[in-house]
Amino acid sequence: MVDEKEGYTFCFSERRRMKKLILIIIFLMNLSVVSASVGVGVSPAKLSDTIFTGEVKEYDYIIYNTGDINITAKISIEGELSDYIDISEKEIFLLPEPEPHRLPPVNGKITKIRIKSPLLLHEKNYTSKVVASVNPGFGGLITTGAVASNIYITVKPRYSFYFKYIILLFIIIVFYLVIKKRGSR
Amino acid sequence: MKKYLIIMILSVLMFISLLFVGNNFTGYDSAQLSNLTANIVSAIACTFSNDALNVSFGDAITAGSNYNASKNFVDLHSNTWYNITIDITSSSNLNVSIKGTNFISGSNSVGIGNVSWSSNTTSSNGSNMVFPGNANISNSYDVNNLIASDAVSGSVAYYRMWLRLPSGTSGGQYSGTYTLRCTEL
Repeated sequence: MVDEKEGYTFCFSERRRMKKLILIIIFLMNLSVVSASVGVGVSPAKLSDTIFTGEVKEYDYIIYNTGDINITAKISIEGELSDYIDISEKEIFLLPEPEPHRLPPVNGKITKIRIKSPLLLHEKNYTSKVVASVNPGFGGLITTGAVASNIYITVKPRYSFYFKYIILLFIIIVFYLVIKKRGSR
Repeated sequence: MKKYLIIMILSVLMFISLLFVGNNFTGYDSAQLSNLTANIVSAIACTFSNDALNVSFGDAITAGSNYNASKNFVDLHSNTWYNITIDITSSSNLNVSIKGTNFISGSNSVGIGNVSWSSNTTSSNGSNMVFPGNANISNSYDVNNLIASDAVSGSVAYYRMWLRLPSGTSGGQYSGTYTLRCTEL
């Protein structure tokens, strides 16, 4: 049993200790929030390929979160092929990768990039980028963090692609001549 | 008449064969003897400090003066809390570039070029990171002035930012954007 006066002193100092503890906990919590990070990754780092006129090719890209908090990554295309590329998932919700970060990513998600080659009569090289960006959306200067994976595509003409149409035209011309000759008789 | 019919039939047959045979005229032979596959995973990834994506120059600033970003000098060592980490999953060295858009408040604007920066890839209190900075932010990625150049996986780039607020700037809550982007060399 504690003496009333001593008990009061004990309760009071215990209360002060608790207050200090609570303040320390609050401080530590704020510290962890302040030091949080936001990050994004793209795999593969680079894509190089050759496609032929009229061809459509699809590639898998993995997007992953290298920060500490959940993010929604936005996927976009920059460069010469931006009109020829479709993206299956343009916004992806991602959980953070567990430490240590490794490849292949544990919580990464796949988005498909589909490239439809332009119609060309000669070979041409194209450069584009697949950009994954994250934007927490706060602050006087609203900021975006982004990573960009390069795409290098060589488009080669496939002459058989055009030859089909030349033959078809030839058939139509021959057919027309035959009909005309029959008509003139 | 028979001659024309024969020519037509041969043309149709040729056309049909082109539809189904495929790459006859590309000039490439395909002779597959065996398959060798190696799945090499590559990636690029960056992590941005929470403060790097949350930049403020203050709530009560006056035109005609220069201002530090709020986290330029933090803690007892005056470290900057603006940093970017090249994630360890990055399989190649990266460049980090920056671009921005103007500050807007209603019909008023402050050019993003009034924001300058300096970076250091070894110290969060590097002596080079002082006003007026090494470069100004522009509307497109400045490949000649990089936050970090040829940065290896696991490295960190620190930076500070300053706002030079032109005289005569009208009062208001201004908001602009800037983007940090990591790309392969």
